[in-house]
Amino acid sequence: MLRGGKELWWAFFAGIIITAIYGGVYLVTRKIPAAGELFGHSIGIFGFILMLMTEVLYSLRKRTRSASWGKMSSWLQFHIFTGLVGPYMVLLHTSWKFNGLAGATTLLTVIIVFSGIIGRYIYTRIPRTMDGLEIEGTLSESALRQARQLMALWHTVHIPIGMALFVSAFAHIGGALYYATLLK
Amino acid sequence: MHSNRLGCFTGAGIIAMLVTLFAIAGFALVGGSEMFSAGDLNAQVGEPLGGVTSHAQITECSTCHAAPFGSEKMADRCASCHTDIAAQMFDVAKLHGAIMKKSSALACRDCHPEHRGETAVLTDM
Repeated sequence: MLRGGKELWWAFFAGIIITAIYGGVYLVTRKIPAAGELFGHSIGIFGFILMLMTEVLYSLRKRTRSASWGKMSSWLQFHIFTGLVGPYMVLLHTSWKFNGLAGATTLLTVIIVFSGIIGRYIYTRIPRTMDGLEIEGTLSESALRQARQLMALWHTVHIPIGMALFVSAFAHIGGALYYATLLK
Repeated sequence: MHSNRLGCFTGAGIIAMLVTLFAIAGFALVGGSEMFSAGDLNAQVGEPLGGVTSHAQITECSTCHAAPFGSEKMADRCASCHTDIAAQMFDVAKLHGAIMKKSSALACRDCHPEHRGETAVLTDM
């Protein structure tokens, strides 16, 4: 269940570990880890893989609609965990420069995370079973209808932001490969 | 009711993908490949070389970035403007020649990083 907020605690602990490693690298090298050097680049790549998992795995699980693939709420918890940790790693990859396409990609990343936080808030307003199904009768008919409408509206906004983000991220990766990583 | 499409390919999702693609293509048409720039180039003014007096005046990435699948290297692009340094690299009596003799595998960018801002130093050994 999302109510306990277990995935938020996991994300918080992962964030502390990542911050400690980042701080360690900063103390040893005495400079902000550059986006294209070993640590800064690795954190960007791993962060992006987590973000890709956030999107693709949850989309796939939603399509299967089969209980044998695990509880929907567990997948949502995983979606929230990777959706917080991945973007945090990507944020550290920026080396705190936000120009050009890379900057636009960071902006979209920040927007999708805030959109997700809003979505989680709306989602948890509706009483649900362990599998994420709504429990009827606990909210008034009109309140439930309103919450469902809000959830549907949020959904139609959250998905396109994500799709724009991935197009932008792939263009950034392509550009980085072309101009820097394959550099001779 | 159960569409077989992946959850992310909603109508709005596909439109957002296309809009982003067109926006990136539009920026590429207007600003060239500058949107991929990792940071500002050095603006220190020197004698005119290759039609510019500072790196900051260069707007086309391919001026310095050789295509990844060509035979040319970035050092060749540097040498095409900095001909004096290119000549020095073959003279062991000069600094760049002495460095090349000792470590011939070094590329220009190993000591001369760029895209670190208009006032950042260009020599970092």
